[in-house]
Amino acid sequence: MVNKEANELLDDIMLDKIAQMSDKQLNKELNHYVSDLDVVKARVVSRLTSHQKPTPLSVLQAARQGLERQRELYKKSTIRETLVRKGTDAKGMLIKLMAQGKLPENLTLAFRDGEEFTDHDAEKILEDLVNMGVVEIDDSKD
Amino acid sequence: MQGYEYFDSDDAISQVQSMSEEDMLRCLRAAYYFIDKYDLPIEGEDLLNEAIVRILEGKRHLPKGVKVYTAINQIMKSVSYEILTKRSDEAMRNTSPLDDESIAGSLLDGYSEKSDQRWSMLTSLFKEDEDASAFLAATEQGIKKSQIVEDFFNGNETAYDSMRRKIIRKASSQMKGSM
Repeated sequence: MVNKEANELLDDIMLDKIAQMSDKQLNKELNHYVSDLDVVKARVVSRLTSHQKPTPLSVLQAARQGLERQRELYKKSTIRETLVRKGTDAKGMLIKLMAQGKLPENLTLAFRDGEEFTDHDAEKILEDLVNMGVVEIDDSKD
Repeated sequence: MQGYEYFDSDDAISQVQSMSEEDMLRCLRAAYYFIDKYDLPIEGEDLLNEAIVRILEGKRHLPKGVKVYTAINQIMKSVSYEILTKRSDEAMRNTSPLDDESIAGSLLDGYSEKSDQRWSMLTSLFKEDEDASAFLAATEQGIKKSQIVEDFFNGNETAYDSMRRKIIRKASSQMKGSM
């Protein structure tokens, strides 16, 4: 079996052969493949001319994406506000949740194994847990 | 592709849309070449359409100074390889490990036999040309382009490209049939 480079060379030879074909020869050869070449030609031309550059987001899609972004921001700010109100930070909140047995097991083990979490990591984990519905921010109530 | 400048998306669209009917037929004929070769389960116009959609979506770019149909044909070539690879992967997933080799083999057998014949035709066409024969032998042995450039052309890549073009031109005009 010929290898990839040899195969590509054979393809390029055929493409060059096709490039040199006359209109008559092309029509003749294509008639072997399609039952009505005129119909196929018309369809290809129609597709060609109807293709447009992908349109920017529709108004509805743009609005939906904007809403999603707002929702994300709102979630983040709500978590932060709640933490400030409770006088703690994300790390502290995770420790409280762990003490209450409300953290997933793998996270609890990671804490117990003394894995280092930055404040940013802790905030992200907390955010993910809230988004996934694993914990509610009010879970930390004593 | 290094060394090429590319049309921006608006210009690419107008380039594609201003293709002549003859060029469009060239693309369609090339589509059927790949479909035949790899036994692809699609129509020529669908393969052509896929290539055009990729240009319009900006996933593939049209190089300046290259004929539009040449660029589209190259895109169809890579789409065909993609479809073939997917089919091969799917066939592998749906068989027991013991069947893998035979399934992969049966997918490739059809075109490998034809390719072997074409390769023999090609090498016999250049048997009197020492340089071209050496080039083809190295390609057949799977020696990488960079190594061929180094070993046969003293590191001159342009000489390699010229030799490859010379082989393509002569073969495309002299090899019989639709390959």
